[in-house]
Amino acid sequence: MRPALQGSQVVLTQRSLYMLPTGAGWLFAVLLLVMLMTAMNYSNGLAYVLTFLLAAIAVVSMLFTHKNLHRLIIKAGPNIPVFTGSSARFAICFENKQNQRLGIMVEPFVKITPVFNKTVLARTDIPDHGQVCVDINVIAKKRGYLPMPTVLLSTRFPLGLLYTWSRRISLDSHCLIYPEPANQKIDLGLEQLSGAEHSGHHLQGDDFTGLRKYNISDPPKHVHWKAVARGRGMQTKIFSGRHSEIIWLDWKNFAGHEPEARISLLTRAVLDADKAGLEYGLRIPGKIIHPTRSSLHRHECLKALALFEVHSNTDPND
Amino acid sequence: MTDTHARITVIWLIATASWVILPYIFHLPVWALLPFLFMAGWRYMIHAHGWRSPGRIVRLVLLLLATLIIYQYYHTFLGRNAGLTFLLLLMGLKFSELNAERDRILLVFILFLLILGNFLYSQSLWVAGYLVVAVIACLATLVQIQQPTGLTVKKQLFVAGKLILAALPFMLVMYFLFPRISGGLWGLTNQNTATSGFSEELRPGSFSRLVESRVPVFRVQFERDQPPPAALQYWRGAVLSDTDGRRWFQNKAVNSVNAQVINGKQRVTYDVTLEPNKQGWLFPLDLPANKPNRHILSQGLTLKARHAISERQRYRLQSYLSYDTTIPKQLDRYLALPEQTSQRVRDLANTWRKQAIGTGGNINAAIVKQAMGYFREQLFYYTLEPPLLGGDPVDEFLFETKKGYCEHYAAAFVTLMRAAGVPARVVVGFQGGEYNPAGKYLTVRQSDAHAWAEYLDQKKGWVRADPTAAVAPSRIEYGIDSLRVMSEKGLGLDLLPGAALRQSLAPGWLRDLGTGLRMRWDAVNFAWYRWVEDFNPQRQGQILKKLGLLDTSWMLRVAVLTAIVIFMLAIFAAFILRKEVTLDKTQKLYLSFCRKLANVGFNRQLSEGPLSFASRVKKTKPEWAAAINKITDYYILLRYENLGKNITLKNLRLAIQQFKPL
Repeated sequence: MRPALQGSQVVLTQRSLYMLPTGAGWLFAVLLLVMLMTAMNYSNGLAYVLTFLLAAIAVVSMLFTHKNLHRLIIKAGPNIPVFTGSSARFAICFENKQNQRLGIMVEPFVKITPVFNKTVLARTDIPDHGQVCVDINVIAKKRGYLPMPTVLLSTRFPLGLLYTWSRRISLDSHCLIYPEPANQKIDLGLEQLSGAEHSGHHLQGDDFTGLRKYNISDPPKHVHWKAVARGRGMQTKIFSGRHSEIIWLDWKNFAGHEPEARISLLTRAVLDADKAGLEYGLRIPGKIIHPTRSSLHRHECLKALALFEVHSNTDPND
Repeated sequence: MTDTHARITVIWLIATASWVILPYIFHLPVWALLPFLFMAGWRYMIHAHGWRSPGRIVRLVLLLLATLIIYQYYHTFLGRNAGLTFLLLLMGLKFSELNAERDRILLVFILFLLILGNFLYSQSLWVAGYLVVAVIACLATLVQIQQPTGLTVKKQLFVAGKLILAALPFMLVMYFLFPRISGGLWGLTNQNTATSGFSEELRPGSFSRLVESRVPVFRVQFERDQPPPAALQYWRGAVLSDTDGRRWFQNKAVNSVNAQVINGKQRVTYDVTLEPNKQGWLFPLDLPANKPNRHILSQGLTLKARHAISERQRYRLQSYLSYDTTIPKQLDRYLALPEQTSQRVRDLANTWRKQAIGTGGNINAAIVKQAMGYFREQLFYYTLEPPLLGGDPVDEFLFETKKGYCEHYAAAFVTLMRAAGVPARVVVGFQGGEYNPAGKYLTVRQSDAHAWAEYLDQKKGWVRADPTAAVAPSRIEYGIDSLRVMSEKGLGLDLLPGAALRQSLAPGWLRDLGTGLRMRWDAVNFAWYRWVEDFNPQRQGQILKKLGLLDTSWMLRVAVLTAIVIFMLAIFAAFILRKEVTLDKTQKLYLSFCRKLANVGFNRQLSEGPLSFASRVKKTKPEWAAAINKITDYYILLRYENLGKNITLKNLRLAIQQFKPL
C-alpha cells in the first residue's frame, strides 16, 4: 500500500487518485451490452447511436469524476479541546481553485477496497474558487493529544457510475483531550471559602482592565468583537475580580486514588473552582501553575492535567 | 437524502418517464401505460401527501399479474412488441419501489432501454430529436439522484448537456468503427410491409391517382454527381406486352431470360435508395448493365426483387444510355392485336406501312417516325384530366377525344405499331425526377410515373419511343411538375413557344424559397437515412477502406477502436485536467489596486495580507485612508465573508477606479 498523504496541507494529484465502477456502473455495462445486442439484432442505426453515446458518456464521466477530486487542497482546520468521553471535532477544510465541486465525501480509512465501504463521515459541495470546512467527530477515549483519524476522500459525481477515491490522508492535526472530570463533587476544603462571593458575579460586575491577544480557549463572550470587526484581529477583554479567593489544587490532596482517578478529580476541581470564580493554582508532580483566574489559566491547568505523564506531551500542533 | 430531495427526485423521474413513453401510445396497446400512470401517481402522493408505500405482497402480485397479462396477450415474451410492452409494465411497477438509490438508478436504466425501444419503430430525424431530449432528461435525473444538493435544474441539465457534448467525438468513433454485422442476431426482426402505388397495369385513369401523390419512390445519387439530362431519365419498371384492348398487363408465362443488352455504351453508375414497394420493382435507369445479387432480370430487361421490398434499401446499379438488344425469336406476342381493334386504327397503320415501304430503308423506324409526326401534327392535347373513354379506348382517343396523358399515348402508339406490323410493347416506370442540389441526388416520386413504348428495330433490337415526348415535350424536359404549374396558371401545355413556356415555368421567389427549404429538409433526411438508418457493413466498409482496415478481423478493428478511444481520452484528459491558473474576478480587481499602489512606490510584500498592507500604506499616506479602507473592506467582504449581498463586484470596481494615488 502506498503511504498516506501527510502534512498540514495536502493536494490531491493524479497519482493519489484511484477509480473503479460502482455497482450501478457494472449494471450500466450490462445495460450497454443489452442495448448493443438489440442494435445488432435489429440492425438499427439509431440504436447503435444511443448505445455508443451512452458508452461514450460512461468513458468521459471517468474524467469528470476524476476532475472532481483532482487538485483539491485539503487542510486541517482549528479544533477545540474537549473532555475525554465526549466527541472531538476535527475540521477538514477544502480549498478549491477551480469550478464548483460536488458530492465530495470524507470516508474513514478502512482496510478494504473503499468502493465497498458504506460509511461516510461527511459530505459536502465546494463552491467555485471557494473554501469549505467540514467537521468529523471522533469519540475522545483518552486524555492527551488525539490525532486526526486517517481519512480518504471520494466522489461519485456526476452519474454515480464511477467511484473515485484518494490515497489515505493523515493531516497533522491533533485535538487536545482534557481528562474526564470526576462525577462526584469535590470537597476542596472550599467550605471555609464558601462565604466568599460566588460564581458569576465577577464576570459582569468586575472591572475591565484591558485587552490581550486572543487565546483559543477564551470564551467567545470575552472576545472584543468590535476590534475584530475593525480588522484588528482577535483580542480578549480581561477583567479583574475583586472578590476572589486563592486556593491550591494539589496532587497530594488526592492521595489514596489511582493516578487516573486523581487526574479526573483534579480536573473536576479545576472546573468547579473556575466556575466558582476562585483564583486557583495547580500543583502536580513536575508542574506548578500559579494561582490566577482566566479562561487561559483554566486551559493551562486542564492541559497540564491532560498531558500529565503522557509519553509525548509536546504539542504536535506546534 | 431529505424529504424535499426525495420529492424532487421523484418528480424528475415521473417527468422523464412520461416523456420517454409518450411515443409508445402510437405503437403499443394503451393499457401498457396504466401501471405507470397508477404507480407514478401513487408515488407522487407518497412524497407529497405522506401516503403509504405499497407493501411487498402488493408489488409481487402486481408483477405476477403483469407477467400473466403479457403472456395472455402475446403468448410470448420475446420479440419487439411483447418485450417492450413487458418493459413498460415493469417500468411502471418500479415506481412502487423507489426508496433505495439503487432502485432509482435502475428505473433510469429501464428508461434508457425504452428510449432504444422507440427506435425499433421509427428511426426518423423527428424521433431522434425527440429522444435526444429524453436522453438529456435521463442523464439529468441520474445527476439529481447522485447529487441532490448544490445544483439548480438548469445546472443539472447543463451537466447532462456537457457530458453529451464531451461524449460526442467518442460516440462518433465508436459508431463508425465498431464492427457491424449484416442481418440480425436471432432473426427476431418483424417489420411491417409498406405499400406503394406503382401499378403493373395500364388502364385509363389509373395514373391520374399517382400523379397526385408526392410520395418519393426512390432517390438516386450518381457517381459523378451530375445526373444525365432529364430527357434521358427513363426509370424502367414493368414491361406490358399483353392487352385485351382496354387493359395492358404483363405476360407472366415467359420466364426464360434470353434478352440481353449488346453494344452497351454510355455506362452510368448510380446508387438507388428505394422506398418499400410490395411488388419488388427496382426501377433501373434505362437499361440495366448489371444485376444486383438476389434480384431477377426479366425477359423485358426489367429488374425485380424476389420478394416484396419491405424496408428501405440501397443498392448500386449500372446502366447503359446507349445500346442495342438481342431480338426475341418469338414475335407473335408483340404483334398481337385485340380483336376489337377498329378498322380506323388498322387503316391508319396500314397507310403508314405502305408509305414506309415506298420510301425503303429501315421500315420499322420509318413507321415510328410517321406515327410520331402524326401525334405531333394532329391536335392532340396532353392533359391530366382526360375525358372518360368507352369500350374501345384506343379508337376513341385517337379519333375523337384526342386528349390524354402518357398512358393513352403509349397504349395508342403500341396498338398502331402492331397494326402496322411493328413489334411493340408498353413500358411503365418513371420519368424524370427532382434534382436536389443540396444533397446532390434525384428524387423520383409517384407523381413522376410514366408510360412509354418500345418497338423492335430490325438491327438495334428494342428501341424506346415515347409518344408523349412528341405531344408534350415539356413533360419530358421539365418534368411532371411543369404541368401542375401550367394548369395552375390556367394555360394548356404546348400552346406556348419554348421560351415563353420556360418563363411561365420560372418559379416565383416565394415558391423558390419554399422549394429550397423543402429540398434542404429532404437532403437532411436523406443524409440521415444514409448515415444512420442505412449505415450497414457495406457502407462501413467504404470508411474502413480509407483507413486501410478493410478485410481485417473484427478483433483487430475492436483493438484499433480501443486504441483510438484511449488516445482521444488522453488528449481530452490533458485538456480537462490542465492547471487552471485562474484568479477570480475579485482577486483580479484587487491586484489592479495593488498595481496602482506599486506605481507610487508601495509594493505589497508576499507575507502581507490586505489589512496589514492597507495599514502600512495608511501610515505614510493618511489622506488615502478613506479610499483604501473602502477598497480593502469591499475586497475582504467579497472574497472571504461571502456576505457581499449589498456589496457587489461593481462597487469594488468603482472604488478602485475612483482611487487615484498621486
